[in-house]
This record gives sequence, structure tokens and C-alpha cells, in this order.
Amino acid sequence: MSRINRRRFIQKGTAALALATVPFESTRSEELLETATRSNAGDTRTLAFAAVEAAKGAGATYADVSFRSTKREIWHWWAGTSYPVPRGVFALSAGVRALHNGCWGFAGIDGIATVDDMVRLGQDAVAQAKNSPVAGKYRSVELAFVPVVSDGTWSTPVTIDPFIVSNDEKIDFICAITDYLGRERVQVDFAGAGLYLIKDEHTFASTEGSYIAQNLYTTSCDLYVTVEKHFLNESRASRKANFITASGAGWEYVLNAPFQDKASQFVEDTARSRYGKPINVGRYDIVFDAYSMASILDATIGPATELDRAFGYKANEEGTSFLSEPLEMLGAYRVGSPLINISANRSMKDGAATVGWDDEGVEPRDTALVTQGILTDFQTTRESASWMAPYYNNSGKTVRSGGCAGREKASIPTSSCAPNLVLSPGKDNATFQDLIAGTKRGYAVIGSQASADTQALNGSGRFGIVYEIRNGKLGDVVQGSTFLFRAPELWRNIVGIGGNNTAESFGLSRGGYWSEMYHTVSAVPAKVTGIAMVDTMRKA
Amino acid sequence: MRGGIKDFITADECKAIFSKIESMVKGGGYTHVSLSVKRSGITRWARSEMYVSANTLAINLYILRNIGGATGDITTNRLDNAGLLEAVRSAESNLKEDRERVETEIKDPFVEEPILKPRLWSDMTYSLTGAARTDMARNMIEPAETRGLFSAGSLEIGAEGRTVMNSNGLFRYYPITDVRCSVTVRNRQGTGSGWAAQHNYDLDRIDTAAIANRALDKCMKSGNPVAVEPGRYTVILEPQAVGDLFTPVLMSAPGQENIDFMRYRAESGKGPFASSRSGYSKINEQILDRRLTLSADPMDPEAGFVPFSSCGEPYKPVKWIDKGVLRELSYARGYALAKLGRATALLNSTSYRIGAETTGKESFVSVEDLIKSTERGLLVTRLSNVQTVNSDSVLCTGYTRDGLWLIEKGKITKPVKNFRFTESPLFALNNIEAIGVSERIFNPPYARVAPAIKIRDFSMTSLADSV
Repeated sequence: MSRINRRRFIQKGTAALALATVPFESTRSEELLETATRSNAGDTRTLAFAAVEAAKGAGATYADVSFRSTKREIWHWWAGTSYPVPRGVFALSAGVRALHNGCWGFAGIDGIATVDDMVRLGQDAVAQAKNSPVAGKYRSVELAFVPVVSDGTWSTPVTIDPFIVSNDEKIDFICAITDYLGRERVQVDFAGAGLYLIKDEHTFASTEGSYIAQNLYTTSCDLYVTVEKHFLNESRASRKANFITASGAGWEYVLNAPFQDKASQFVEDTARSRYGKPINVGRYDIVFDAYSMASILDATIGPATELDRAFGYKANEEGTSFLSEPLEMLGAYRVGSPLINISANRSMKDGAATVGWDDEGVEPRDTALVTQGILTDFQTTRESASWMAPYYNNSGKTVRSGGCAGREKASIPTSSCAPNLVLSPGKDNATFQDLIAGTKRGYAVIGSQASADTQALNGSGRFGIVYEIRNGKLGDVVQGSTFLFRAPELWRNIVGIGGNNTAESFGLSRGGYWSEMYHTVSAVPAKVTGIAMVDTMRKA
Repeated sequence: MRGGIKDFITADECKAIFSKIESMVKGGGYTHVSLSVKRSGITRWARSEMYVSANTLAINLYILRNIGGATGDITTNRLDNAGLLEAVRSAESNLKEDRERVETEIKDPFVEEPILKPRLWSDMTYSLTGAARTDMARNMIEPAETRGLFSAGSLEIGAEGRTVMNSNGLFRYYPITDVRCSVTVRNRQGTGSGWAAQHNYDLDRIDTAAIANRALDKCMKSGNPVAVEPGRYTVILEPQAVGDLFTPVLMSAPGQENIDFMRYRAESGKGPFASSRSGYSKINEQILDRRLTLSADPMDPEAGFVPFSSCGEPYKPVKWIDKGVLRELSYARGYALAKLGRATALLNSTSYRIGAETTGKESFVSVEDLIKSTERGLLVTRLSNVQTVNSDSVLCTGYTRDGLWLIEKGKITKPVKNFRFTESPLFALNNIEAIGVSERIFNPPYARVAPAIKIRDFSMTSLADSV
């Protein structure tokens, strides 16, 4: 495999990118599929059904078993420090979940498992479930129907397996980018890059007879710059690029990132954000770029439409939801403006949460969460979908899981996980610039990160770069501002959204440091009225 | 036995694994291993119903190889022979990429240095069965359920063997038990929420009835809150809220120490502990109220922790802040050798005790007494989503949660809606009016103790009406 030449890589123009992809052997997804089925067949099937049969024998009315073989490769580098060195993680895990009299039991182990281990896990899962009823009271659990998949296989369709790319190529890539950021722009104090490559082999089996093997890839890259202190206010700025995030794709995602198009602007925006005029506190029309809208969506409607959360099943861990009466609100509650259509999926191309089947063996379906501003569905698993049966039956829909079961490793209990989310483009072909042009007075917010409280209700956003808008044009940079919002009011006050050509996708994570759980949020720019802008550091 | 390893890994089993690893290495050099094997029994409930009961075994094995100054490492959870071999080979493959080799010999001057021996193991905790655990959970659910309220919670019992070993002869092993119990009670209207929790190694120190009743009481007293104006308030932060506000000083994110708490960083002019004099930190300067002390001691009877770092270096008792004066900042061994003429580091375990000393006439009072002494203020249960807005001042923003009450003329008069706050712990802890009794707070896996503190002029910046 020939080495990428660093000089060739950082040449501008598409020719360099095309050349960069040529040297690699392209690995078709079919070849990967064969690898997946060979490595998961035989022994894994025996282990899986040993656990399943043991759980059935112990009295489970339903049981499923999952295996994971996870490989991670992590590169961190800051320009001017020592040479990038990879860090690796490889891990095996197995877990059995059993249902007995409406209670879930779970048993899981890290590391390699034998047949005896799997039998013990199956029995232990049922034993855990049998302990559970409160004062003799049993839960009623119905699992939404799922077709049996007797021999399912799927693999993330990657063009270039990142784990067969040589270390030389990865080092060359990291150094090329950080050298460019560091040397081409004199203001840059330091630049850093991180590469996170994940390959997950999932195996699932259930008492219903399903057996599924999948290979899932996540490729993620972080780029950081810190710009030197501004001479006027001695303020330094650091930012992380959002034109390259995380994706359910291979090495091609990194190579095809719009680095040449966006790197200069990224550094310029970072430099500009160091110095600006102070914010005039008040309520304004705000034009958010696609990244800011993705972040707002991920902080608000994303978690708020997790049905188990809305029903209070995460009240002690993560929080609850402002959509607190799901069955009453469905089909009636106005979440946002009629311009707003939001959906969830685990099928979009290059989606970081895209799978063939979820952790319950469900083939995910696209779910329209918000339709023309009205709440129309929630993110569901097999159990939580059954809670929606009255609504689905009245609406003529099938009671079916949305395919949102997932967790970081097989040895911890199954839960719901974030799917890919989409804020659909508007019917007009409005651009970010069009939305600005239609604003007499307000602010443009670019690259901001939003967060919200434990009900996903009240939130704020900061970082990024904020420009004043006057008479439809961008004006001065504003420094040190935060926007505050209450989720229903923000979404209802959207008066304009971007068209098809403005949609951008970003890989995000709600987990902690080096979390393995990524999902993609696709969003468009939007204009919102009546948003409070405050000084970030201003106290009461 | 699973793969030769019982649920709980013993010291001899750790040594056996290291011997295997040493027999697999190629090329000589130095090998460092850290290993944790933890068995957990978890019971979770929600809406006053048991939701899931689980047994899990978590394994984390880290191997570092250094040959001729080049370093490569790997993390895995496989302890079988094939897995260990793959891990060693991966680490040795990774070190080939370390192209800027520093020809140093790895020295561990602390190999022979003894570690402290805090008691972090409880047989009672270890021997708790799954049935007994679910009995305890049932007892925590029933008070709320009988009142028509929703109880949600988690009871997790763990037993862990943790070890650090290297080819210089270092062997550190510690057995730990761990109890994490938290309860949230909410009313069915969604207008009231209460929370309480405890974390300790010893089940005997966990009062599950008190946790359940405290969460229930807070829920019942927090229903239908009213809005009060944002502004600066005298607040009584319960110990949990004090910890929630203070933790960003020592940690920048879960699992990550705040590098601004490091001495080299302060002396390079960065962070809140940088002196106005170039090249100096604020060590020996008054930074907090004179009554406050920030310390960390593995032998602390309430806030004890594993007495060695992931490198095997012993943690020593340290007073970071004494009577409000900054006395120490953390530093690595390289800094100690270069700047201080010392051979050992001073490490930040991120476990801590915020203690207080009386100045004579006052004593540490209960939260009830702090309330009685307050003309007008707010009682805060805890804070959430605390994020640092400015690292130079540790200015933070976040939300109050799970119970906020207005105090008027020494009494709680009404529950109020939550606020977003904007405050720095370094500012707030200079505006202290009174200090309460300390207690262990809930920040697993860390051991932390904090007192209730009454603070004036605390900035509640805007309403946040979530419950």
C-alpha cells in the first residue's frame, strides 16, 4: 500500500483528494460481511443458544443474549509535541436479559465466555428477575411484535476499513492537518487532532429464534485550534471543528471531509471570536447555523422524545421529559412551529447510529417524531412501543418498536439509546444568508453548543461565534454571549428554516469522555424570534 | 470459577496474570499493568415498580510496554491466555510508532515506599445476596407507593480488586467494596421531586430507610412550586450542592482531573491559581474563607480512597487549602525532580474533604439551624448540569434540582421553581455566613465530604421551571 504524500494531501483542489483515495484497497461491504459471518458463526451461535436455552429452562418467558467484540484505535496529537502514537482497546462482552413475570433480570460479563459461562448467565438472569416483584405485585410487560430473523447479517457499508489503513497513513494525515492549521495561520497557538476508530462486532440471539450478526464501524475525528491572545483584550480562543465529527463510515469519511474548503474559515472564526463588542442583553431574532440547530435538537427534542424517559423510567439517572404526558400529547401537543418536521432513524447513510438491527433484533423504522410542529411519535424499544398501543391502534399504525435499543457493551443491561435525528429542510430553498437577509435586527449564531436541564426544557447555548445582524447584513462580532431558551418556545418561534441545500450532518455523543455511543444529527439553519441573549459571565 | 478467575479477583490471581504477561513479552524493557475486576449487583426501579435486577462482571486491563524509551499501550478486558498475548503484542506493535524515543530508564522510586491502608472493604457488603438487595429496594419503594407517589432509584453493590504491577517489582493491590444508593421520588402531576443518596464502601453506613424517607419528604414538600424573581440570594447549599458546585475546581469532566489545579499550569500563568506575579502560583495566598480547609487523605474515616494512583504511586495526605490559604497544587514526578528537588509527585486523587474550623464562638450547626438563622434565602438540595463558563475564575453555570425552597424569617415558607445559577465556587466560598455539619456526598466512584454552607449574594440568574 503506497504512502500518502503529505505535500500532495494538503494541495488544494479535488484532484489531491481523489489521488488520496486511490492507493488504498477498497474493501467492499460484501467482503466485510463474509468476515463477519465467518467470525461469528459456529462457536458464537453455540454460545448464544446455550444461554437462551438455559434461560428458557429456568422459566424465562423471553430471553435474549448479546455478544460484542469491540476494537478501538485512538490517536491524539498536539502540534509541537511528540509524535502521534496510537492507543488501542479491544474488548469482549456478553450479556443475557430474561423476562419473568413482568420483571427483567440481567447477567453480563466482560472477557471471553465459555459454554458453561453462558449457561450460568442465562440461569442467573432469570434468578435476578425472580427476585424482583414488589410486595407480590407483578409488572405487566408486553413486547411489541418483531419478525424472527433466523440468520441476519449486516455490515456498515464502508469503502475503506480504517483498521487496515497503515499507521503511516494515519500519522501522515494527522500531521498534515495540524501542520497546516499551525503553520499556514500565524495566529494559531497550537493545533490538535484526535482520531477515534471503532469496530464493533455485534451478535444477537433470542428465545424467539432470531440470530443476527453485524459489523458496525464508527469513524470520528476531532480538530482543535487555540488562537493566540488578542492584542487588545488578551483573550485567547479555542474551538473544535464541526465540519468533521463522527460517522458510521470508514476511512473515506476522514479523507472526504471538506478540510480544504472549511479549515481556513474555521481558524478565522476562532480568531474573530476573541474580540468583539459586548452583548446588549435582550430578546432578539436569532439566525442559527445548522450546527447550532443540531445541538439544540440534540439537547431538547432528542432526549425529550425518549419514551422511557418521558414515562419516568430514567428519573433517577438522567432525568425526565417536558413531554410528560405522552399518550395525551401525541397528535395534539404543539412542540414547534408548523415549519418543523423532526424524525428519528437508524438507517441514514453514514449515520453514526445506523444499524441493520438494534439490540433487541428489531429492524429500525424511520419515526416521524414531530410533524408540522405536532408531536406524533416517540423513540421506542419493544417494551415501550407497547405503551403506545392505544395511540398506534387509533392511528391505524402497527404497534412496533422504533429500534432504539442499544448500549455501550453487551455486559450491561439493555437500555434505549439515541438514534440518528433529522430536522427536515423547509420547502423553500432558503439559505443561511437568506435568513440573515430577512432579519432587520438580531444576531447570527454559528457553531454554538447547546445544553439543557434534566427535563430537556430550559437550556442555553454558548461557544461558537456570534455576529450582530443589522438590516439584513452581518455586522460586528459579539463576544461573551449566551442564548437562553425554553424548548417549546424556541421551537414554536421558528419563522424560517433552510432548504435542502443547507442540510448538514454532525456526529454527536451524549456520553462521557471517549464514549462509544455516537449518533448523527442532520439539521438546517433556522431563524427564531424572541430568544434571550445574555452576557455569559453576567451574574444576577 | 470463570476462566480461572472468581467473581472477585484476589491478590494471588493478579500476580498470576502478571507472571503470564511477563512470560509473553518480547524485547525486554519495562512492563506496567493495571487491572480492575469488579462484580456488581444492581437493582433499579421506576414508577414504584422493580424494573431490572442485574449481575455484571467488569474487567479493565491496561498494559504498557516500554522498550528503549519507546512506549506503547493497550486496554482490554480479556484475561484468557490468547487475549493476554494479543494485548501484549498490540502494545509492542504500538510502541514501534513512538518515533521520538526518549532514552530513559523507567524508574519507580516509590516501589519500596509503603502505601497507607485505609479500610475500604466490608464483608457485610460483599456477602449481600441478590434477594437481600431486592428486599432493600422494595423497602425503599413502599413509602412512596403507599402515598401514591412514584419512586425511582438504584441500589448497586460492588466488590472490586484493583491492582498495579510492573517489572520493577512494584505490586499494589487493594480490595474495595462499594455501595451506591440513590432515590428520586416524584408526584404523579410532575410538579414535585425529591432526591437523596448515599455512597460508601460499607453497607452498614448506608441508611436506606433514611434515604427513602428524605427523598419522599423533599418530594412532598416541593409540589406546586411558585416562581420568585431571579437575583442574588442568601442560599443554604446542602452538602450535596456544595460538592456539585466545588467539584469543577478539581475535575474538568467526569474522570478527568482539572489541569488548572496543577502547579506547573498555575506558574505558567494559566487558570485560577496563577499569581499576578509572573512565574508564580497563588500558593500561600488567601483564596477562600478562613474557616475552610480542603484536604485529601486515603485514611479519612469518611472520605477514604484507594491509596495509590494508576501508576502505583502512593497518595499522601495533603491539605490543599488550609484555613482558606492555598498550600499545595498537584504536580507530577518530573516537576518534582526539576523544580522542587523531590523524587515523588503530589497527585490529585479528586477525592476530597471540605472541612471547616471554628473561629471560637461558633460551632457547626445543622441545616435546620442554618434555616432558623436566615431572614430570607433559599434552601438548595443539589445542582445539576454544572458547566465551567470561564476557566480563569471557575465561573460555572447550571441548574438547581430536586427541591428548592424559600426561607423567610427563619422558616421554610414555600417551594419555589428552579433556577439557573451563575457562580464561581471560588467567589461563593468567600461569601460564607455560616457552615454546617459535614457529611459524605454522592459522587461515585469518588469519596467526598462537604458541609452545608450558607452563602450570601449567590447569583440565581434566571428561572428554569423544570421539575
